[in-house]
Amino acid sequence: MTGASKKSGEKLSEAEAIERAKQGDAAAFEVLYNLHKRRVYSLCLRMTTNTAEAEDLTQEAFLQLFRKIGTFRGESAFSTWLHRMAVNVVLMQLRKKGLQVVPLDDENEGEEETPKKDYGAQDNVLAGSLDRLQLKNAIDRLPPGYRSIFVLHDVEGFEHNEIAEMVGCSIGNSKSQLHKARMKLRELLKTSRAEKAIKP
Amino acid sequence: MTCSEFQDILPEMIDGDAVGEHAVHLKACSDCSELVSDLRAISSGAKLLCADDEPSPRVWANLQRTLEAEGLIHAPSQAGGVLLPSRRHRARWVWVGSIAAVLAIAAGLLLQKHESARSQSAVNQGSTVPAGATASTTEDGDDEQLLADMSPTARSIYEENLKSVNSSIHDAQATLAQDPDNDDARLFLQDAFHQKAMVYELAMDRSMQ
Repeated sequence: MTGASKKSGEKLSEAEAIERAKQGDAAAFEVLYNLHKRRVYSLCLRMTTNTAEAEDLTQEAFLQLFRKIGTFRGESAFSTWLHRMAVNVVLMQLRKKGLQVVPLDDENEGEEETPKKDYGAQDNVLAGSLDRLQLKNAIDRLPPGYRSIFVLHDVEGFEHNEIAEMVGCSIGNSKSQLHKARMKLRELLKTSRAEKAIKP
Repeated sequence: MTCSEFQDILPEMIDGDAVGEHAVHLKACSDCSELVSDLRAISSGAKLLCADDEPSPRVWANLQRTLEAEGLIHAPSQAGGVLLPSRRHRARWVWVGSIAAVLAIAAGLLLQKHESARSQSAVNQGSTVPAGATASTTEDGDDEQLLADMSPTARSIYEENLKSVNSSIHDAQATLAQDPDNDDARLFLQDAFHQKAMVYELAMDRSMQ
């Protein structure tokens, strides 16, 4: 069945929506937006930790996508294409704001950026008791450079070579910063847990 | 192998399996074993955070306006859910649009008033409102006429948005029920009701077009 012969009320598949959007069909744009808005917005929100800014960036990412949709040839998955675009929009915004996007090389890092080698106590193990809200809050408290790498790798599932290319650092640096981000998160989570335990 | 030596190699091996002397150290050292276990828990917990937030309906409304202004979208399609009049028929829509705009504003004001009253009442009763009191689209009883006037796609989008915002309201109410002094949850609840009013408002606009 061609797109044009679809009856009113039938839901469009993503492939059909892409083809229709290339022809300027408003409903197709809306279908694509609704299919991907959560993932793009979540990415923007995790990276910026600000809802208003995340909404603006979501809007900008989709706008760029819709402007370029005519050039989409389907060599990669549409979601990958959109997601890359969203990441670039966010990274550009972070750079505009002068926030650290490219992780510092190890030798240039300040002492306070290096997480403590805190082994923790046996009775304070995170595994098995990690709740999403705690983790979200801890990610929000990460320094921007750590947060970018952590979100791109652990939340969004990008590989180190992709991150290195997008962010503009070496693969080794990406791995090293990811590790430090996880260590910092561990420290934040344990501190938060200890504070809660002290509260009456 | 010392703990320090083990930690030096950790960034490289954490996402895979420990082998050789690293595996031996990991098995023998409870501190390093706990560390690896925590870092892996953080990593797998992060994967579950993906795509669980939703932008407000304002984002699509702005996008739609921009796309229209740039001429990237055109006539309504047969798929339904198209909210913009075609350029060809735009002149014909001008007078209809004017009336619709007046009606939409009036309806919006009424809805906002209604929502605001509900919102205030819910916020005031934060801890006493039963969880789920507004958490399903089925109890939004005023929707019937609104839904009847919509195309299937627009209806599906409206219902999805409403479900999502109701879910946010439910979450905030549940949090408030547990912790009535939680100011963040109270603000979140107010915002969710505000978003719900916006969903209605957009739906009214659509059904009038």
